[in-house]
Amino acid sequence: MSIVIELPTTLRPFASGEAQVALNDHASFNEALGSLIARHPRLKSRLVTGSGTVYDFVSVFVNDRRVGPDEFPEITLDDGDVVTLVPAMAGG
Amino acid sequence: MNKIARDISPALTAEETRRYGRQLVLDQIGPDGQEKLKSAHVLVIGSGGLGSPVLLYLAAAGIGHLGIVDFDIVDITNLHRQVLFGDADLDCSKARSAAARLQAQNPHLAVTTHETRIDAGNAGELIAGYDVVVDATDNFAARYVINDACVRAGIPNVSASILRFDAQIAVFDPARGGPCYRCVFPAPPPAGLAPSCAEAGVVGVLPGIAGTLQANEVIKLICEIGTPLIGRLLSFDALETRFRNFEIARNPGCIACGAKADPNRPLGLAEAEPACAFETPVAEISVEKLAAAIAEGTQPFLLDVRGAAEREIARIAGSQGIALDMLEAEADSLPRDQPILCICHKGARSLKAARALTELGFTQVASLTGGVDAWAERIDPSLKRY
Ligand SMILES: [Zn+2]
Repeated sequence: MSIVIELPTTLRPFASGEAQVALNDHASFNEALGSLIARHPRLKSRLVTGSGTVYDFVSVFVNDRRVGPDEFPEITLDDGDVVTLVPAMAGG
Repeated sequence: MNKIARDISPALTAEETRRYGRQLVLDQIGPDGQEKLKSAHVLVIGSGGLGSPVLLYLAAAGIGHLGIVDFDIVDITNLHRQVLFGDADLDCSKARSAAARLQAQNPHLAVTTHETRIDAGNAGELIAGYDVVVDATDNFAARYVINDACVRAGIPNVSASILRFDAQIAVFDPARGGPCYRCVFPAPPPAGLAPSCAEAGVVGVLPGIAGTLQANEVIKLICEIGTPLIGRLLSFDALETRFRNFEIARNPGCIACGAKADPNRPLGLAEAEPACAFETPVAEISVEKLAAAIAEGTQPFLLDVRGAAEREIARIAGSQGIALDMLEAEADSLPRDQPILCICHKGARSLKAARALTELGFTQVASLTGGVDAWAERIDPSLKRY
């Protein structure tokens, strides 16, 4: 029983090249984020600010619906949920 | 009331009816839709990778008036993806070259060129009078200015961005109930966390895919057909050939489109953050100095932080390669008892690498000014330049 965090291309080099990281379910979003960083510590400086919140340039989607930072504490992730991290990019 | 003169008669001539016949016969478009396209004023900001297909397809489709904002000139490294331009346009103004090409393609088209960089001071004036704005720019500063100006003017912003093999496309239009760019990305990445296309690379066909999707959204908005890409962020992964729709919504607290948005807030990003203010200072050395050190046998450890494909094109003899985004992972393999000189294509990534190594505790780190490109230009002309 697990949830999946999908990483954008730009962050995969800091997670041993993995595109998806499976984590235990029944975690809050913040717990899942903590587990992700514990497993791949080099993601930390690229994903969260000094105060531990996700950078504003990374949009967080749960099952393809965006959730804002205010909602993070209330989110519980259940078996099969997919969290996708989408960073802003500027190329044109 | 629009500032731009609406002097083109919307009625289609016989020649126009023939020219657009294959799309006129579509029930969703018809003569009415085609007349709407002819009456439409669309501003395309950036005429590069994304702007090229947007402009080519909108001109062909019969948009009556296209505005083009671009301050840049055509460079040879643009040509693999900026399909508006060819060798004859090298070193020429992108906006003017684009206008000439588009008017040759469709003589019914009126084009206005703005050879300027969009910023907080001119954005409101540039977009005024247009029905739709297309964000085809290549930097965050422009994206936030365009967003804020479009939100304030109530103009839909058909936006796309690309990097490497990834693209994102969305129509930001709070006036139609959707979110704005800031609702989804409230702030840009700090300097150093966001590679540009020049550093990260981009596959040439990708802006073609994203730009044609933008053109499609413009036509839908003007003809008022289908379901616009409002409230959705479409992502495209060119390696996996996978499209995904993400649901995005207004952020009530958004500083651009939220209920409490300050109508007098300056457009775009606050200028408070000078890019390098908090960055670790890094020593830089010139290619001449490196050549002299090599001649004397006192050269530092040469660390090339470009990717394998770039190293294959040209490299300085004796250099070792670790791509910038793998540097932290592989830093343990680097010598701690020897000076390290970071090298990249033109000297930007090597600065980041030198900074990162300094922060990891390496004490004798420098960056090669001008990179392999300067080396090829001034020291070893047998190397290829790119
Ligand atoms: Zn907003």
